[in-house]
Amino acid sequence: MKRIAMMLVLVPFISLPFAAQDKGWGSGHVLFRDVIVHMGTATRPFLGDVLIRSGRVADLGWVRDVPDGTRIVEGRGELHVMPGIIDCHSHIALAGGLNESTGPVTPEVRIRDALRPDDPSIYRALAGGVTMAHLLHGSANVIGGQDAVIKLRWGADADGLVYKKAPPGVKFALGENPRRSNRNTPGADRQGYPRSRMGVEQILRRAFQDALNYRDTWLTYKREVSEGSGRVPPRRDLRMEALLGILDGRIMVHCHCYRADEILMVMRVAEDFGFRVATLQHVLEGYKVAEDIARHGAGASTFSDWWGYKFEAYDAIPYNAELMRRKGVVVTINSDSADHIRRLNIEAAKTVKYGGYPRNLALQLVTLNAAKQLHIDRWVGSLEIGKDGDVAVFDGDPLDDRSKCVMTFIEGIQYFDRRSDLRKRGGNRRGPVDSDQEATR
Amino acid sequence: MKVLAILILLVAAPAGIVCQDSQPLLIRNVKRAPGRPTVDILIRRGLVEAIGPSGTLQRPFDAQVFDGKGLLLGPVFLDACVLANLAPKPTAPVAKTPPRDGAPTSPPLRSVDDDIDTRPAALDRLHPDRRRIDTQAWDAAGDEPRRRAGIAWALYAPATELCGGSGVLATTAAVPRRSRVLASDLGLFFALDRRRGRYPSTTMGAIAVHRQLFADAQRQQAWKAAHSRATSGVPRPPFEPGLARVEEVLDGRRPAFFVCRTEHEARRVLALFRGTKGRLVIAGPPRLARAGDAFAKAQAGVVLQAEFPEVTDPVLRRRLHRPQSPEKSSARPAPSADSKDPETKALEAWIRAERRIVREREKTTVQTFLNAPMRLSEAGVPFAFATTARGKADDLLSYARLAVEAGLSQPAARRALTGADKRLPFSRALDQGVRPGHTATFTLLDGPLWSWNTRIQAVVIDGRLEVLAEKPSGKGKTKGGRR
Repeated sequence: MKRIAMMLVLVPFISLPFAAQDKGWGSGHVLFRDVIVHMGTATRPFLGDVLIRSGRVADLGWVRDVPDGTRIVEGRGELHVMPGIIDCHSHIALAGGLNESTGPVTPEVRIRDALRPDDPSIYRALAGGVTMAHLLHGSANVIGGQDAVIKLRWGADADGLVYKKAPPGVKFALGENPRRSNRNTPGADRQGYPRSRMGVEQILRRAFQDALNYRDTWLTYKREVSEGSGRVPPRRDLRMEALLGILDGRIMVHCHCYRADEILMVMRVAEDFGFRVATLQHVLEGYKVAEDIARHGAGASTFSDWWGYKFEAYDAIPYNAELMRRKGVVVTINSDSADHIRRLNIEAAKTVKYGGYPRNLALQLVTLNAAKQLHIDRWVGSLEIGKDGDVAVFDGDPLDDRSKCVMTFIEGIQYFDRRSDLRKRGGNRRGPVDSDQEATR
Repeated sequence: MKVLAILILLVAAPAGIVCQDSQPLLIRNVKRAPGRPTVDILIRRGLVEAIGPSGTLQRPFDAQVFDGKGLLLGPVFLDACVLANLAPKPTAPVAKTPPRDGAPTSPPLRSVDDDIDTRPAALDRLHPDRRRIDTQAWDAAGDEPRRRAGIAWALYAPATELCGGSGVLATTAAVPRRSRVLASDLGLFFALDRRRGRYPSTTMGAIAVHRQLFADAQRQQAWKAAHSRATSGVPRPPFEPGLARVEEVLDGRRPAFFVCRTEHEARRVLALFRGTKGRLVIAGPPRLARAGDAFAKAQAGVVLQAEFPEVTDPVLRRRLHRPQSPEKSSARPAPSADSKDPETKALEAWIRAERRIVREREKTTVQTFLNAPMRLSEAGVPFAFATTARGKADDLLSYARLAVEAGLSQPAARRALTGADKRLPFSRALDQGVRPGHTATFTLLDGPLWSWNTRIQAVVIDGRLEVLAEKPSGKGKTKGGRR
């Protein structure tokens, strides 16, 4: 009788996390007790507790005072807790096309205008311990659209996903993609411009020269207004305003590139116009020009072992990340795929095994370094007091390919629980239904 | 005297068109509601002149009489978005000089700037200055089926372009166009129109075009204000009727209709209008209703297009499309001779499993479709119904009946059918109800509106009677419905 009564008392508490799983569960107060803590810094993993209060990391080590209303996750020394994984290059959660490829310069379009919060890829990414993703425009045009940094708050609306502290960025693309995308465009009477790598550089220079002219127009207008004449404002051009944002340093540049020569080219163009490339994406030949990248101050976001899919992606080596790190470049490993995003911890591990990357720094490839590249490392990227309580819990070492993510928390709220997920799926192994299929039918 | 007579004739001629038939119409023995005494209605010059108990109204000597025994007065319906594509077809580029015989045609001259700034391609789909009333296209061929389905009013909208122009609210009566107009320049119609290979080709591109359009309109407004304030030094702004209309939209003086295909698009549109005073009406398929709370928060109205989902499951199909006749497809096929073959068995099992999955998905789709009006109603969102280009005119009433079955209250369904919700921008132009002094626009039904057996027997639009079906012959009539 006593046992039944105890079960009746316990059942609501056990089932609560699963009942409200779809929109995240919890009050933002969680204690991970007796877990192996990977802080995401150079500190070695240690056995201890992590306390999250009101969505922020409040205490680390041995936590004695547990505030009322705190959920306790018992690790029994087996669970590994690490900061939520940040994917630095992704195209998930988008609706209505990710490539405004109809012109080589389109920075006026914004990814955050096309977010699709019910994309099942968000949930799948959560199942891999990912808590944030950097959503980039496609690479069909030289200057693409503006990006969005999102927290994977599954169940929230589009505005609820956007991480507002992240500064905006624009995607650039060099090489084969912007050259090829002009080919066979329906309705086009001939192939467009640019057709060569030289043309790509000229597009960049021409666009920024136009932006400088636009700035001059406005400065002239403002001067005339202060002098009491010319009170008709020039036309606001959203495209030019975005380009001016880059020149002024308000908007970051994330540049898709592969070859060493074009990496040098884009940095040279940036230096000529007085701005800095924030990250070089893919950058498979980055190891050849690592010193220049470090001198410029750009980050590098690359793959662990994914190349050879086109000519410009041939000359790649697994030591790319490590060689760039040694020269002082902030390096990350990204997914660029709705599939790879589920196992970014393994991608980091591969960089250790095949690329000679230091094991103690490997997790930073997908956590703190990503936060640094996106200029949000003050708030996320590691388990340090005061930072957001974005946590991935694994049942083993995250760098072990046998380990599985069992829970994912964003600001102390649980968005993924492996046990409840398996239970819910039952016979249906397909996972959540893709609602876009319904929408397009 | 002669001149005076000509003047009188000139003035009277248009009035005659406006009032349509000058012959009075007397409708006898109709009921306002089931169980209530019958009344007679006298209609003259398109207006209800008098309503009185049966036999009390004197018949004018020249009146046309219609005996409505056994019929009920019913409302007419509004088709709140009739889209027609007015977009000019893209023309092939024309060479400036004609080619000599046998000479290869050279492409037209273009500068590199044309390749870099492709935004002008969007201008072909951006027509805020266009008015639907100026075209012949709103005199749609589908008006007769609409009248037969009890639809007396329609909002003829321009095409689903980035901005197609303004719509016209008109009756569907079979009279000259100018006599049908209720509101000539209603709202401005937008859409997130994206086309492959032309800017904008993505949703975010389409939104960028709209943001730029809004920025241009705001600049125009600021310029006008500066010009009117300044005594000198500020040049007069150029006349831009399209931008002036967009200004009115942003100020809330003119409603904006946004045609959306998905819930995501609708939510993005709400975000686009955030911070403006725009009065927004979202038009689209029933799945948009999932954003009901967001519509309510933004005080946006909704036009639900009666887009019946395509379903393969016979049970679901029968539920949607009444009345059902026994469908042959529902009969199970006889087992084939080699059904004992294990491979065939496995295949059949796999097919059955797949069908189950499809059925579950279709069930969800149908449920979304049926619940959409109730969702909007519960969220407090004003909404109306519209037909679709592919659907039939009587889809409107069928959808409302299905929605009532699914739990929507009858008054709410009636409001949606008739466009009577005062929060919707077109409601003021519609003369609702049958009262003396008001427009005579109503239907005559052979039963209660929400019964599937009820048929529309006649429709009166602006006093013009159109008898649609044989009068009811009492019991034993055929089961009514759609399709």
